[in-house]
Amino acid sequence: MSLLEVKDLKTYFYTDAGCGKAVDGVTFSVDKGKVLGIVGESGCGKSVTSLSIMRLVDLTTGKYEGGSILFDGQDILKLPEKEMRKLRGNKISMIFQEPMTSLNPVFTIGYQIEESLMLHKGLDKKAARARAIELLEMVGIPEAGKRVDEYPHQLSGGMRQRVMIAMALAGDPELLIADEPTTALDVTIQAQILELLKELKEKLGMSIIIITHDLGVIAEMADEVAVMYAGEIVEKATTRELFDAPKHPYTIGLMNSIPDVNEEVDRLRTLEGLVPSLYDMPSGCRFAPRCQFACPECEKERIPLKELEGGRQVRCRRCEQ
Amino acid sequence: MGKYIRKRLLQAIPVIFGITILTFFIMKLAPGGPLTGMISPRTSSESIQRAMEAMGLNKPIIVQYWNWLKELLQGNLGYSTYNGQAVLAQILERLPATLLLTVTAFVLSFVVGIPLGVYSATHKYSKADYGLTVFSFVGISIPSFFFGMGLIYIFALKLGWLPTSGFGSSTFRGEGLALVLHKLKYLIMPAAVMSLSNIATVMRFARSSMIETLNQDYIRTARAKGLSEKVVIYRHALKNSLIPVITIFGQSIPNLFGGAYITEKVFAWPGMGLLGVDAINNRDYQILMGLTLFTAILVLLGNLLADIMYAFVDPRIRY
Ligand SMILES: Nc1ncnc2c1ncn2[C@@H]1O[C@H](COP(=O)(O)OP(=O)(O)OP(=O)(O)O)[C@@H](O)[C@H]1O
Ligand code: SF4
Ligand SMILES: [Mg+2]
Repeated sequence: MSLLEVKDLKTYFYTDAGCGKAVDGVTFSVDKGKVLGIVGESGCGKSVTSLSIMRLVDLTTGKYEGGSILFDGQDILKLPEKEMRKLRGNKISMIFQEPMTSLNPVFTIGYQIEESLMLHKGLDKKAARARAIELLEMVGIPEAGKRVDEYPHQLSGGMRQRVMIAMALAGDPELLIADEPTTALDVTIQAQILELLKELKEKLGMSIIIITHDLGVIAEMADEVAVMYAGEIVEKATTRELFDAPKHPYTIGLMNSIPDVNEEVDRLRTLEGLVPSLYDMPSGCRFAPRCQFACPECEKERIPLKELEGGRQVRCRRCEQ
Repeated sequence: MGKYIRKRLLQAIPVIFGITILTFFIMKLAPGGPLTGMISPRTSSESIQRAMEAMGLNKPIIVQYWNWLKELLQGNLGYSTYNGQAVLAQILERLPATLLLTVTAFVLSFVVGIPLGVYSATHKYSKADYGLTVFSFVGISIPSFFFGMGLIYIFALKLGWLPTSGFGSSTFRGEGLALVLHKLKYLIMPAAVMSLSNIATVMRFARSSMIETLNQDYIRTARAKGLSEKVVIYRHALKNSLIPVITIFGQSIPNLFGGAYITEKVFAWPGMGLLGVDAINNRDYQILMGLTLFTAILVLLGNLLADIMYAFVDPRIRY
């Protein structure tokens, strides 16, 4: 059985502009010890999907309109808030894109890790501190015993992201959601953080959802990939299959836009056109306005996600035959 | 931290020196002069000359300043031109009453203002939030003398619950707790008047600061840890949201001492403000100079305290 099963998840936002279907019927699952990558352009709903799993979507405008999220078989969308809090930062942890601002500037990093340990592991202050130092060592922070008393502003971006990871590990999570964990870091640090995540996954046997708009990160990390576009999953396959033979025109476009070292920079191909507005989605295929294969049929009605032989899935009329 | 405080204290010394210069020359620039209150058209120019010599007013202004400063460093603020009493003694006599009033008002501003602001922020756009917003606009815009007289009219004249003015009755003979309660009755209205606009200002500031803080990434991190909303707000957000509120802390001190002139006059509160108003009426330059200097130094100390609090709350300043 899968550790996490997201079924037909719908997370909508109600604003003055109308109803924005940021996540509109997303289905995927993550097996124990596996890494699922979610990839897509900015605004396609990756963060809202992950925040939905944490149940941290801002409910002043947002609403879970349907579907279910089964974690270890229980639907966390139905859990009372108090039960949900026991999962957050414990069995399910999350790290964020902005290491520079994701740590509280007025508390030491040690305190911020200890807080999780005391909450979820019931450790006392002293034991929590010892464990916090251990965790800092585990994520590769040198002189952890000294660093534990430092404040976030005394650390570099890469170090802060390591602290975030240490904090996420405090509860021995079964699932770690990493929302663009390396986007804000420079390239060498990016590689180090990815390396660390892979190493920790092997050591601790946890499952990871890694969110990115960088197919390079996917190739590096993921066992399986879900490609998202405008609130929907448009293609899902193993990493191998996807890179060998992308099926959806959007995935193909993404692949082509990866800069090739042999190519000159000014010939860098990007996808033409813009992501449709959240509040004004095409009624048929949402990719149709940008798709070179689009035909009138495509714009008639929503295209279902179809399963191909071998279990991979694609949301495109062309691939149905 | 200790190093930081020492640095700030040393920096205060030249500022105090600057304050003495400003105080002295502003007083010299003021129209009239210390003698205006004592002379009439019939006073002979000889006696004016004599009085000026006695006060050293015929010497060059720099020399006058130097003499004043020398005396000042020995703790002598001069003598009232009106009644001849030592300025320092008169100010010190009035200081406790003013400190009691301003410190009460100050503490009230923050003890009441911050929780209201936090409540407003965490119940954004609720009925209570709108109510508090209206209250704060009224609080900020209502003139203090008007508010003070309104209170006197209602609570002293109509209801008779509180005394109209002063600080204790001369016929009261109680001791201990009874005396404290007796004095407290006199304190309530002036303290309310002094703190109202400050409470409103602190509340607005605390509200917007809290709302901004709650949108920060580290608050999302705190929630993602599984912390309860209470801990998220009162431990992770509050300390951060107080940082800008401390600015108000520093700014409200001069406002309070300035406000004391009006409030103390309205309530005949025997403090420095009342002394100042009387000194203005009497053209008592020595007293005014002493008061200005004293107030400026109190404000300076207040700001120093604010700076130290900044460092206390925000580690980015400490290091
Ligand atoms: N609290 C909110 N209120 C209203 N709309 C929101 C809210 N949060 C997200 N959205 C909208 O939902 C859509 C999906 O946002 P999301 O943050 O999931 O994108 P993303 O795929 O993570 O993009 P990025 O790569 O930029 O992080 C966006 O159009 C965004 O404007
Ligand atoms: S359904 Fe049509 S428009 Fe949509 S991706 Fe496939 S070919 Fe393009
Ligand atoms: Mg995002």
